[in-house]
Amino acid sequence: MAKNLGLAGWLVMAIPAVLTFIFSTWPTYSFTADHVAAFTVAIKRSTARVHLCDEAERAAFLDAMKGRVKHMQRKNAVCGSREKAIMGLKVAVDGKELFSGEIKPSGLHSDGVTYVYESFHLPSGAHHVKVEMRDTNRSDGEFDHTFERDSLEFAPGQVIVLDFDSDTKTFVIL
Amino acid sequence: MDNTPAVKKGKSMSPVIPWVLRPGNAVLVFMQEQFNKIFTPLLNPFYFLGAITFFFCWILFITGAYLFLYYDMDPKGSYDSIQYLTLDQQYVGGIMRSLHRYATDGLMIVILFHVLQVLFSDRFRSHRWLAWVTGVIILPITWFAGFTGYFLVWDDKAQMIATETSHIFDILPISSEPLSRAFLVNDTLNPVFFFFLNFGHIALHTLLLILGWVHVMRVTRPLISPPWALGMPIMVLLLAISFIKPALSGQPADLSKLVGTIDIDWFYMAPYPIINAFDLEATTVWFLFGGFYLLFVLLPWLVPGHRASDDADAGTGSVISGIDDIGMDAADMIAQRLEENSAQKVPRGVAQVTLKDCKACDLCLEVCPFEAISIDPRSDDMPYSTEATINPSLCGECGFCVTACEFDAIEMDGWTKSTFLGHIEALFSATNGSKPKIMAFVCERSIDLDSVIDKEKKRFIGMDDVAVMVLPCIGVISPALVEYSLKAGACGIVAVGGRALDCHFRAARRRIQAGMEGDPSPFYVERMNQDNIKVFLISRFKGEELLRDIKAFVAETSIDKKEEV
Repeated sequence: MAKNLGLAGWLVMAIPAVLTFIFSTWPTYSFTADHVAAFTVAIKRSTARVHLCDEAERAAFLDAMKGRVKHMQRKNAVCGSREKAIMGLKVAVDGKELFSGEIKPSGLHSDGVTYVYESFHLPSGAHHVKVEMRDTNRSDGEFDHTFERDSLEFAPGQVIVLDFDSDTKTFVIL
Repeated sequence: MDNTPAVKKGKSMSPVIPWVLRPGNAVLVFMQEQFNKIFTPLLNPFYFLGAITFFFCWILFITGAYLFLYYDMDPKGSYDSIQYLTLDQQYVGGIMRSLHRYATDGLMIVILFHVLQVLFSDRFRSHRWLAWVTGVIILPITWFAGFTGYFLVWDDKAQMIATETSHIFDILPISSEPLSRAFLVNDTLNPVFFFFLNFGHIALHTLLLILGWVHVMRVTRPLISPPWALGMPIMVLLLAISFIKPALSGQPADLSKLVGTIDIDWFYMAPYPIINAFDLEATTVWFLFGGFYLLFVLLPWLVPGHRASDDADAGTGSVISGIDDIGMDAADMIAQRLEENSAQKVPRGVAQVTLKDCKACDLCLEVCPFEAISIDPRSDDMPYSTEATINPSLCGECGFCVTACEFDAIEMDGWTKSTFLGHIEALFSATNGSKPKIMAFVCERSIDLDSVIDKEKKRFIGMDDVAVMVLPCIGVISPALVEYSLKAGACGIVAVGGRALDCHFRAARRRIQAGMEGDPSPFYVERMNQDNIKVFLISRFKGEELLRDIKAFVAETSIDKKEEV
């Protein structure tokens, strides 16, 4: 049995080594062109419930619960539907609509948080940016919150992330 | 003058290989042959791809353990900790990191070659389906483990991986919160995520080892470490690359900036430029990946032309002869058994026990290379406490047990030991033309049968004195077959198998090799001159050489016979 490789064996074994040597870093790849920036809208928002009980409905609901569940369970019971409103979102840059759509809340019963992650590549420079968001069940088609900057400056390669602060109920750039 | 008969130019591949695999098989065999010339069959890396995979895994574990000691799992400190290893500990940590990195690349290369070899050598179907399926599971896990390793460095490559991969995973219903939100800005990076990823990276490699064990579970005596003569050059070459081109980090990840131009490890990151260049949506990526992956998993059941399901002429030992040549009794017996098997829906090709003839002697258990036979409590009223049982899902259809059974109790495709013996008798009968002197057993996968065998005469081309019987594997040759050949009139035995280490069943190679290295030959028969037995382990492309060597052997053996007479 051969105990060691000959020179030819070493050379053949070196082929995958050379391939590794080369292709572990080369050729390079450009994921984004120069002078491109990104505008990312990343919202985490608990939208309003579709239907909130009024006083009378709540009283009737609690009455119906009496004797069926314990006091603490009654206190935490949800009157009406748990379902939350579908979020409406519109993103426009320099007057051009980049996104317009409705986003369902998470959860099997649409009762969770609504998440939005939309990223747009733009040429670097100043842009007019307008983001509108609806987080209620209103039927007039209007939006509840608006972010608008006449001239938002994007440096080459810069990523600007727009989020929504639920405490202040305003859009914020992270 | 060289009167060696020329090989017939016809189909170049053994009929056993399905047509869809034949082009790939031809390339594979050609490459193996070239490598055999350079490395010798005993050190041919093609025959140790699985073992080399394990070798790379061990390198990854050892170097990874060292890197783990210094790695800072906080996103703010991870890049610096790797830089410390790379630059401040250049000749320990730096080399460890480079070895870890390049072993990862080596692992992917070897696995890909291993997959191609298994596929084109038709070693992924039948009883080998489990090894194939686990192997197909191992492939993406290896890839995933690799890129989690790249992620941990948290440089620009890691940023690209994080952002691009999270977009792809966002559409999966695994979390209500999109994964992309984890990589919005530098300040929102969660240390717990890095902690999870670090242990996930280690867990994935551990999972790989476990899957590796399942992968080889049905392989009898699997090769899990390469010979020193191969392992040492691999290690030396890995070290050489590590010294010449140490693995370095890119720019620190900065989520406030887009990833621009980066150096790509094409063995792991090739999908990302493709996705980027074609601007593929996540759904398209999953659809393409899922489709190809499903196709890959199901290959053992999709590739047509399984030997056992071909027509009867492709069955055990009948490639050349056809059952009409083995005497009417035997032919009737085979036909009857096949009919019964068909009625009982017995899978073609799989060996099975005829219980009424089984004496529970354990002979079949000893020869089975796939551990498909077990000895179980007797289920009939015969006066034996146990019986042999064959697990069809483990049966490799090699036929070893058929000829090992002294009592004709095991059959495969209607063939039992008696029918093998009847076949030999028919080959030596006067009705077959001139009486042969040599009995040759040929592995059906060893060579292009059409190029060396005269199907009509059941002889090697131009050699009327050599009767030929084609077997699923030369491991089927038992002392009984040899004994019977002698009784029928043979003075010598020829066994033709594939190149050493390149045997479809491997166990046969071990048996033959043991015989060659001084252990009792599987063909050992007391009254036979051992010099009159010749084993040829040949290249598929060496038909002419085989015929020439057999002719020379026949000439020598014939002289011996005359002397004996």
